[in-house]
Amino acid sequence: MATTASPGVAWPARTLDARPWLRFGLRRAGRLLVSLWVLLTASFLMTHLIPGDPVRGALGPTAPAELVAAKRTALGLDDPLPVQYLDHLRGVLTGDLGTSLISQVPVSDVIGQRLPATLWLAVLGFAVAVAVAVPVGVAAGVLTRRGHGRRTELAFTGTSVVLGTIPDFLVGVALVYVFGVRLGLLPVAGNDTLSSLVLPVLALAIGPAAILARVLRVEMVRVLQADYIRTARAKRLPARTVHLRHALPNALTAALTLCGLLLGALVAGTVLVENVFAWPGLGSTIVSSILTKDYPVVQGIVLVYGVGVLLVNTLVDVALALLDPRSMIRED
Amino acid sequence: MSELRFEQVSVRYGRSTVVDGVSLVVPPGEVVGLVGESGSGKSTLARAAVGLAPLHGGSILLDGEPVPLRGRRRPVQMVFQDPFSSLDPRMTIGASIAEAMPRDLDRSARRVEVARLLELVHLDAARADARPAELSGGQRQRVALARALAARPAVVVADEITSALDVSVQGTVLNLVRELQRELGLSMLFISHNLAVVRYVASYVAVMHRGVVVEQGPAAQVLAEPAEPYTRDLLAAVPGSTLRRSHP
Repeated sequence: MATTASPGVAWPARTLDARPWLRFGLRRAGRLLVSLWVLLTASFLMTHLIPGDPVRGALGPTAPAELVAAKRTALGLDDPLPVQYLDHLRGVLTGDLGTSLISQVPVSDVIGQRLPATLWLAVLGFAVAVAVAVPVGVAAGVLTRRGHGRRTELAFTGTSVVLGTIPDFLVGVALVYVFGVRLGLLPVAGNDTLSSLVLPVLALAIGPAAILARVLRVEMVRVLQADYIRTARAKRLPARTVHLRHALPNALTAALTLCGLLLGALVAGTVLVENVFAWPGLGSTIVSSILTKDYPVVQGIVLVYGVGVLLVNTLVDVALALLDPRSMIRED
Repeated sequence: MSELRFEQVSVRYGRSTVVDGVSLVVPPGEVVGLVGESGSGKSTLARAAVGLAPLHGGSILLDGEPVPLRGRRRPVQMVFQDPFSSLDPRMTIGASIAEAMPRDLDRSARRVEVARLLELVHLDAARADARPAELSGGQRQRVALARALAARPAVVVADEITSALDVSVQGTVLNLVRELQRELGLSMLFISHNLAVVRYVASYVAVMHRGVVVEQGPAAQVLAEPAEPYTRDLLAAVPGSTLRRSHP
């Protein structure tokens, strides 16, 4: 048999096809708009269908009936619900979220004052969760691969399941009791000093960190069995390079999806945690506004939380598509 | 050109002995075909040569010295069976190839070397930025060969490198293996369960059965006049085999 070299093949130049990205962008934008509309509608209906009169709540039980009626008319609360709904949509689209019934301060100002504290808490909580979960999950995956370290696996899984399933406000209460009341090491309320951040951030971060570390361990164990890891070992790369350059990026896809969900849950978790720690953010404001039936503030804050979660999810989808373009193509 | 020598090599997993006292020589610049049914221990022996399977006994020598199983020197390189999973899906093929190169090469030298290796395996150098998913199985296996050659090995171990490919692509890859082996004077341990494939590329053949080498010698002799009943069974099992009659 003659030896024939396979002919060189002239490949077409590698070009970036913009069409899948355009379709992906349009699909995501459409989904975002529909979700925003559902969010606006749901927040409007929820606040307006709750029994009780917000004007009576704002003016107090002794206010004259004429005054209450005049105030209701002035706020448009006597209009039919569809008219109020359209006014609400128009206001949101023009950037007018209304005025607080209690404090008479524009809702956008209330949000502007309170949002930084909540964002600070959520971002720090998420950063701490990721900073703890990634090294712990990777190390646990390496230590427990291919059936190694059964005891380590049992201890890790048990601990992460327990920490991941306790609600964050209960974690907060426990932290307050141990570090604030018993040990007196850290402040238990307010945001006067940097140390005030420690307990609420921990309360928010512990659960997501445990869940993320557990998923990362499982993904690392799966990826470390892959053939390309064996190839990397055959190259005699240092173990650290094999784990960090080859295994971790491939294990991160599932973790990144989870990160989006966890960040969304963490943002929502600030509502309860802020109340446990008397943190002056949106979470504590929305609870007090619900109790006083301050509709415009409740609707505005629900909108901010909802938009935050939707944006996080959209950003995660984009990050996933950049990291693994197959995820974008699979949707077609 | 280097000689790879297995001396009484044993590999055990738990209580199971997968390779049992195998002695085998890959002479300098020659291709030794290692054949046997699935589970006979061929791939385990190959993995032991690159340090992926622990030795229970015996030794593996390269030009009389133990094959270094630690450190960055990688004189024995392996090409794996499945080209669809053996390359990191997130890494460009250029990066995969460059990663196997000696550390002392700088970035520009690596780029030049990647282009040279891709051309050596008949791939356009411009494909260095492609990811494995953009290549066919045959192209990926050529990348895997380039990746193995990037480490400048003395010996290449090819483990069933055509068995995951379409028949039409197998011939192309086999021709490339022969061409590279002759051009570079590589010593090669070529593992396959396909006797026709082994006959095409190997000058020597060793037959493994249940962890033991039952017969070895020049390919013409072993395939034309097998001494062992197991080798005869293997030859008889090849559908429509004309191996024994047609071998030159």
